[in-house]
This record gives sequence, structure tokens and C-alpha cells, in this order.
Amino acid sequence: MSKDDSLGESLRKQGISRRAFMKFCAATASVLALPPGMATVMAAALSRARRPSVIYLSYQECTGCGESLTRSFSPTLESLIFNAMSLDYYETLQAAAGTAAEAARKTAMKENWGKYLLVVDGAVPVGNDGVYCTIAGESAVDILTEAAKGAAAVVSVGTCAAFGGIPHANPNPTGAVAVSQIVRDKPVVNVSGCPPVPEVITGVLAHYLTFGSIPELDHLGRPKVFFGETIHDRCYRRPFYDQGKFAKTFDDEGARNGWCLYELGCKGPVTYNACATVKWNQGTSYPIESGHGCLGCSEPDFWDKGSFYQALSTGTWSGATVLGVAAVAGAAIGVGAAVVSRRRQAHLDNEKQPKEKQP
Amino acid sequence: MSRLSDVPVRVVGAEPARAFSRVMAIANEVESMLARLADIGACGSIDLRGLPMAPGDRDVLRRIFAEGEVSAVIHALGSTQVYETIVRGVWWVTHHNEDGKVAAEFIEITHMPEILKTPPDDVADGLEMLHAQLQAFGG
Repeated sequence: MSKDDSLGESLRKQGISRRAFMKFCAATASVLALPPGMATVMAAALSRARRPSVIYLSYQECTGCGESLTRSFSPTLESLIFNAMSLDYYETLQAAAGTAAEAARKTAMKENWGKYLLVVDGAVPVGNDGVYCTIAGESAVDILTEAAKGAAAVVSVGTCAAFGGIPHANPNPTGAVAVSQIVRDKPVVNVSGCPPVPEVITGVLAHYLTFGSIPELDHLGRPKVFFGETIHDRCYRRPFYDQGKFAKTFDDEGARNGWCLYELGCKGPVTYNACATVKWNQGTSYPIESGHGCLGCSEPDFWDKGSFYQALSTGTWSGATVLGVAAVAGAAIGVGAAVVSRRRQAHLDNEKQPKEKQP
Repeated sequence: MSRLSDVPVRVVGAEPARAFSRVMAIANEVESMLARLADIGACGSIDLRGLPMAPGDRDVLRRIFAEGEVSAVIHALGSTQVYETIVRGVWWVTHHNEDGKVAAEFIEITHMPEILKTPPDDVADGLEMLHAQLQAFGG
């Protein structure tokens, strides 16, 4: 497969028929919430697109994002997009090691300067001059800074890369920060989630290939098409919330009847993600459908916001106590969520201010 | 309580009234699109994966839009089932991946779903293949 092949040509060489490609585009358009008619437009554009070089860097992370993307969905329609890319550097998957691997990264960067996609998972430690994560003698922060300079677009995969995630959690001994706090001179697409929904990752890449641009982002740098609505907005249990029907324990009658899990700590009302519609394990279900509340894993600092099993009305999510009556007043939660959202925005704005390196 | 059958278990089904309202919203949208197809020939499509659906909703929807007289299976990266529903002009298209899981699902309001048509480039490829076949058979 030549690097000069168009995406359509490279797929055809893999024995993928045009009808199969149409099917892939229909599924991708669905994930991107594009009108179904756009599948034909997407097929035409993707077919002509050049195979992009992708450099995938991994730092403070658990490889859950890589697993989400490459393992659980293989072989699937989504894997097509990865077969069609030139994945030039990815430590988890590449056969090369040591100096050969680093040489491959530097060659790919040089040959595709200004055109490659830079995908990053994991937070970046900046404490003590970045000594907590080094690869081939270079710190993660130095490698990222250099690689970002030649990237056409930067995609932060997972909550750790997007917001610092668990490495950033209190007391954050390594001074872990989000990719967007290192890369400041170009837009960074935050595909948050712990891990992110695989289709969301491939959807962002497909959008870039189809339209030559990154999708519209929300105030936290997340693609609006996937993060535009809360889990609560799209939850099939929402009618029970509106009727004030809540499970009080995980094994009571309310739980058995599938009532709302708000009082059991569900963070759906303040969590923006696509789980409720795209779902997991190839559309099988999502946590709430399996009887557990949302943890809010796609939101900044979700790990430090108190118990997963305390209702939002206790105020631990925002550090405020303004939501005390929300559980019994459906309308109140909308106001409460807005308050939480504004506070979170203010908190993030503060976080985004340049900081001194932490010890 | 000496036997398993003595353990009290209550099986809770979908609540018909609520399921009905969600499904009826979709059915009404199909009705509007079908009217547009009849009036001005405009095709429409509803992406079922993008809608919040409770377990059981899909079954009710499938009963309203049950299989009609036309059905087809496409074998490309897993199977795709296409059938025209008993409501003519309304097609149900389900794309499966190679593991047999649903990758995308649509209700299409059209004379013929796009996925069933032969892509123009494939027609040219088909002509080329036919020439090769005829040569192989001494034509």
C-alpha cells in the first residue's frame, strides 16, 4: 500500500468494495450526527483523501484509550479508518523499539511536516522539568512540544490528555497537565472519556479527513457533535426523572423498574458525552443501561469531586451546596446544572492561566 | 422455601404507555417524510442510533414497520439487511459489522435505498470484468 494512494484506492487494495465503503460512511455519518444523506458526500470526499500520517504519543496513561480504540472494535467498520491511515509511530503497537522507533518518528515528522495528525493520550508531567516521563532521554513535554510544531491538528484522546485526568488528581505529585496546557499555538481537539467512546475517536478523524478541518468544539475543546448534550438529556431513563421516580438503592423496586439513578450518584445531568446514544460494545449498552450511574468521566477533575455514589444535590461535584432540592424538583436541576457548568468553566479558565511548574 | 421456583421474582416489562409515546414520535416523523415523498419526491431518513430508546422500544417500532414484500441482504464488511416495510416506501436498513453487531440502523423513506443501487464506478468495473469473462470463455 503506497503512501501516495488515496484512501479509496488503499481500501480497494484491501478488497473493500465501494458498497462496503458506502456502508462505512453511513455508519460514520451516523456517529457524527450528520444527516443520513451526507453519507454519499462523505464517501466521495473520503475516497479522494490522501492517507494521512498519524503520530500517536502516549504519556501518563493506562493504555485504556488505546484498548478502547484498537481492541474492542476489531475487526469492524471503525477499524477501516485506521487501516487507511499511515500510523507511523505508536509505542503500544509498533514493532520497532529503541533508537529505530525514535528514528521512525523523526522521519515521519520530517517527511510530513505541517501535515501529520498528532494524537496524544495520557497527561504530561511538567514537575521537576518533566523528569517523571522520559523516552529515549527526552522528556514527554519536550517531545510533545517538538511534535506539535509540525502537526496539522492535535487530538487529545482520553480525559488524561484532555484535562489531566487521574495523573492530575490531588495531590498530583508529578505536576501532570493536559496537552492543551503545553500546546497553545494551535487548536487541540479534546476527545475526553475514561476511556473515550471508540466511535468518537474515529469520528473526529473521519471528520478531519472528510472536511479537511476539525469539528466545531465546545468551551472545553470537545467536539460539539459528541459532547453537545448531557448524558441526562439523552438518557432513556429521563422520563422517570421528570416524574420524580428514583431508585434509592441498587436493589430496590425502583432499581428493578429501571427508574432514574440520580439519587444513587449519577452524574449524567452535568456530564457531556455520547454514551447514551452511541453506547458501548458496538451499541450494546452504556453504564446507566447496566444499572450504574454515570461517573462523569469525560468532565475535568471528575476523580476529585467526591464520591461516585453521592447525589449531585449534595454539592460535592461543584464544591457548592446549591443543589439541595434538585432531586425533588425536576426544573431545579436545569438551573443547578447551569450553575455547576459556569463554575466549572470559571475553574477551568483559572486552570488554563499559565502556571509555574509544580515541584 | 425449599425450591428455586419458590423464590419470588417479579419480571417487570416495558411500561406500554411510555414506550408508546417514544415510538409514536418516530412513527409520526416517518408519516411526515412519507407525505413529502408522495408529494414532491423528497427522500428522508431517520437514524435510529441517534435516538434515546429504551429496551423494548425497538420491538414496538418493528411491529409497526413489519417486514413487507421486498427484502435483500448485502454481504460487504458484514451483512446489511434491507427490507421494505408493510408501509410501502418505508425501508428498514440495518448494517451489521463482521462480528454481527449492529453498526448503524436507519428507517429510510425512499423509492429505493442508496445502498442497494450499483455505484457508477462499479458499473464500469463490471463492464471490464464482463469483457475479461467473455475472453476467458473464448468469446
